[in-house]
Amino acid sequence: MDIAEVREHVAEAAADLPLAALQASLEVLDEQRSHLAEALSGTGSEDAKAALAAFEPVAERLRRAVAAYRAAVSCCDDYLDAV
Amino acid sequence: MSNPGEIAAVIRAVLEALPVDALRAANTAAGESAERIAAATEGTGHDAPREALAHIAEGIERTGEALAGLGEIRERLNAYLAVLVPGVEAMVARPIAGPAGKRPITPPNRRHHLNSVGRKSQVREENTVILPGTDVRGDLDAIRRGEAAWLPDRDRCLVNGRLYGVEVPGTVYPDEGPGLVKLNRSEYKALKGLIEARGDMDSLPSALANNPAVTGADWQRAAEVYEHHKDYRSEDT
Repeated sequence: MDIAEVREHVAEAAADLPLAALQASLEVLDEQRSHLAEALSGTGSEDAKAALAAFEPVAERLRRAVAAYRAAVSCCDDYLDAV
Repeated sequence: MSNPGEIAAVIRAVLEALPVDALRAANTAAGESAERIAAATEGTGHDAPREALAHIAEGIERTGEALAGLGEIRERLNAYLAVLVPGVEAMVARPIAGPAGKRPITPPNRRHHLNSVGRKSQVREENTVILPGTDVRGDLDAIRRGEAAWLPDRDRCLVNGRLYGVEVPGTVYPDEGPGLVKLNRSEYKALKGLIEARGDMDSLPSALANNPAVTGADWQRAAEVYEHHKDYRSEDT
């Protein structure tokens, strides 16, 4: 594989990292949590409360995943600058 | 909102909308990107690609955790739904990508575990050995929860940085990754010899010790693996 091909592979692979998909999932989560909170307000169910409480840790994991993929893209950019 | 029917309808809509498939697809895409970067930059000596791969592994792991969290949300909502609307059937889990979603999966054959390798172990062109302490059971649980990325081009599941294949009956077999060592025929023969001789090179069967097909590099590789074996004794001890 010559350097032009290497660059092309790395650039494409970085562009295919699922940043947009995870951002969209974060928006879906936020939206669904709001719907749920509105529907469950005042129900007092422990399962309902636990389900609502579980949304934030999921969102936090996704934010960390997004940060990790951004860092990966940055590393790929560094590599492409260097070769 | 106090009408149980309306609340149940919202819960069902939320269950439908949870981005389970999107996250699984994201992990598959990230795994494929990692493979392409690794293949393209292998041996180039640059740190940046390695760092990129580490970040991608982190992203896959965090996404896997998010998937597990979605499973918890789904479980809680189904439990509440069952109370809210007696007799309602909980919504079934989403299908798992790859062959693990088509059949129950079972752990790798014992022959893959280092401490089970012995004289009778069959030597193949490629022999992946599982080092002690590798959380294969945890990997299988994660695959069953749908947290593994499926790499269709390689016909492998990627979970916790490890690649696994699935045989037709559903038996999982290890391929590569942390805690998994892939040995070629000669390296595996050398490992079997070391295990049989309990690490004592002077006690090796002469046919193996004098086998020209087993090179010094093969012995070195086998010795590195043998250091993880239960019978290994350091020269210092």
